[in-house]
Amino acid sequence: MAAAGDAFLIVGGLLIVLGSIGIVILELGAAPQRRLVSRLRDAFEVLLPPTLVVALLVLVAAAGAAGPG
Amino acid sequence: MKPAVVITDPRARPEGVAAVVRAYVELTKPRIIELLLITTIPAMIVAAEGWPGTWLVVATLVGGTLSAGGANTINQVVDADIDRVMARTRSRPLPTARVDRVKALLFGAMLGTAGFAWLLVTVNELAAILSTSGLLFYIFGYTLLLKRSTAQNIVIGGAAGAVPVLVGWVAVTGTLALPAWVLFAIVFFWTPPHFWALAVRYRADYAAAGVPMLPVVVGTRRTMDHIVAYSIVLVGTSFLLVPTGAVGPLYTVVAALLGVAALGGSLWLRTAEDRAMQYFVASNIYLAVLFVAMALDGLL
Repeated sequence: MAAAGDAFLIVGGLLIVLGSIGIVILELGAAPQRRLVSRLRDAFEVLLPPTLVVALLVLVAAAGAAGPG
Repeated sequence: MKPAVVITDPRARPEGVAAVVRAYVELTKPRIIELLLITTIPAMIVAAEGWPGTWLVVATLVGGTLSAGGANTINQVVDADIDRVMARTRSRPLPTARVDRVKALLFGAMLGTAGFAWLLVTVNELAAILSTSGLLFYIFGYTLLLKRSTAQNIVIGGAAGAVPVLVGWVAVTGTLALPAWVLFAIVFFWTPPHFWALAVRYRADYAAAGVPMLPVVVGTRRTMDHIVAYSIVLVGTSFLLVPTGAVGPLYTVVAALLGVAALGGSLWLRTAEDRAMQYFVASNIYLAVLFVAMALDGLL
């Protein structure tokens, strides 16, 4: 399962990074149409999900690099 | 001036006890609770690396049901005005005046309080706190703060629906480990594409009610693009559970197959918006099969 874990980490990581870039581009593109409460809130809402999932990816990769235990 | 309440539903003002009970059960949105529970049990099995014990599972599900039922009830109290406008929701108990608004609020608060107390006594402190945090975030974060003010409502607010997996994990281990957060992220990224498909189908409804769901704000075409982008992240997140070592070969194979299906499904939806409800149903199946696979992996 170790090889499968590495493969899924790489493929999963690529998908997360690609999807996150897509989300940010789409959200920023949609921004002029959105009812902006404030620029700060808008940036927070757009960037929060991709930031969190990339952070999670880093944590999983770091845990894998540290090895079991 | 508030518009007068017009009772249009033949079920309005229930007479018998059964009708009253049915109306209160309806307030809790049992279908949504089902989905929450479908994710909770597998999370518990993965955390326990096997069956966590029947009593613990039952106790966690009862507590989770009470909390979710309370959250859904109070959500309907807050949203009664827009539920009355939308065709999809106007036959709910509050718009049809089958239940009084104050009584519904008390019922929801009672369920939420009972859920906290139940989990505190029968499971553990952290499970009770997490479950109640999910309820409070759903009401104050999603329903009151986000739903009517931003097209990102279901993205951020969807976190409330991902809390039950954390509750399930904590019920077994008492702490939050990395795989629990991966499970949380899976439900979190599953939620927006799922509800955007529903919003595509009921776009006119949401527009009439003044709810800025993504298809209302950016249009159907751009919403489909968002669904594809979130599906890509969802599939990537589902893969992250494999390197954590929390799951085995069955989940690995199923996640890969479902990943291909989910990405294909989001692209398929992009070609015709009248497929939105089919996508919505398929999305439910995706999440259920993914979580059943991880449960079986833990049990076998």
